[in-house]
Amino acid sequence: MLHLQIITPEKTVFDDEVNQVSLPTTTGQITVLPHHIGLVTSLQPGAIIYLKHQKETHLASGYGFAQVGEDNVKVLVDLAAPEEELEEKEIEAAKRAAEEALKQKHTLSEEEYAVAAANLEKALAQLKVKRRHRRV
Amino acid sequence: MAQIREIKKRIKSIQSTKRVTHAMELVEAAKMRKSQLAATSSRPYSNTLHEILSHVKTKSQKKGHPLLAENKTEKQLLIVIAADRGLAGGLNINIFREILRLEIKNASVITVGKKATEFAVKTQKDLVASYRSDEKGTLDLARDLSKMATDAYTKKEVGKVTIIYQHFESTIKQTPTLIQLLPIDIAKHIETQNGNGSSELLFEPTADQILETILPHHLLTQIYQVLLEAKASEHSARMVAMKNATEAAGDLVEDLTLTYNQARQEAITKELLDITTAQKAFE
Repeated sequence: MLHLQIITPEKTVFDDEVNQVSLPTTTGQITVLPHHIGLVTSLQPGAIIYLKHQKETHLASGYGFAQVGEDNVKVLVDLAAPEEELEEKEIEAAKRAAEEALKQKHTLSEEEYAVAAANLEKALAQLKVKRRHRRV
Repeated sequence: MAQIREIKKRIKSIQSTKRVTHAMELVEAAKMRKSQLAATSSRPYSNTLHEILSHVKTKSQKKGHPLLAENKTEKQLLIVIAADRGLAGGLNINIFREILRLEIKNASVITVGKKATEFAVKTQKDLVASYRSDEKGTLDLARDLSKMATDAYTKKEVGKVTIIYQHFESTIKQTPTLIQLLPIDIAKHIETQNGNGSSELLFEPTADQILETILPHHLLTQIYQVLLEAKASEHSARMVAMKNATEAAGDLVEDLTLTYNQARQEAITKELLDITTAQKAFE
């Protein structure tokens, strides 16, 4: 078993034993099984998927870092929302707001642009998790 | 008679003060719960980030990241976090006393909170920027502060950035705390982390790249955490202060009521005495 902790600045989202976990790292999706070698990596928006009792759970995640130890995984992200907590309308609104903001590129400072781009990425990641079932 | 009326007036005024402080107590209690929850629930995040950072730092080949390297400038930057409003017991005063005690020389100051700004102006510090604590969201404020700190540090305008705030320990205990933000001081973190110093660690993409992103983020998180702690401290201190005030007002009303009744009784007795003496005189 693998001890998975998913922590955001607001709260500890998840803290339990799981069988395996997949993380969206900047160099691609990786899956961590027990007795993994120590690893530190940075994450980009996407889906964190963990397997527990043969049941997969998907969480939409934002930017952050992950640290993998022998039998524990600590994930630090600025967003981690389980599927059922996602509100499609709200995300659509957030996505549109971010797109609007990006259009006014020249009036934005460097930081504001980065924030808007990050928000857009996160909105897209959430939508992807939410709409996963539709396509199947 | 005059005295009795005086006392009655005072009782009334104290009672209305008591109502005000009681209302404030309730409002602050609600805010306190919220801010305490925010402060304590974001602690795991910043602690774990510390931990990761210390791992990365030991493995990184590249020395002298601008945020880690010391720089010899004499000047330093002090960020003071205090409340916008008073009526919070010794909360603000204790911070200012601590600053005076530390005798920080050559410092320019960024203040958050109206009281901190007033203090900086009064002590003629070199004020660079000042914020109201509710001017913008906590995260935005943290972003602004970390940007200013980073800019000042990387341009070598200052040799050290510190932040002073009330650390939230419990509802009745807050301690003024000074921490060094820049240069990021990791030696301390490693000591606490010796236990599980896993020898083999992979980095993806590379330790240097992770360090590059984690350092600014670490700074931001640290400031964010400090702001949350300060908020929790402020509301807790004010709640306790208001609670004490309400209790003190209650005691005072009790005391005054006693005096009032005594005076009233005295007046009645005197009047009776007058009547009976007059009657006796006629007999």
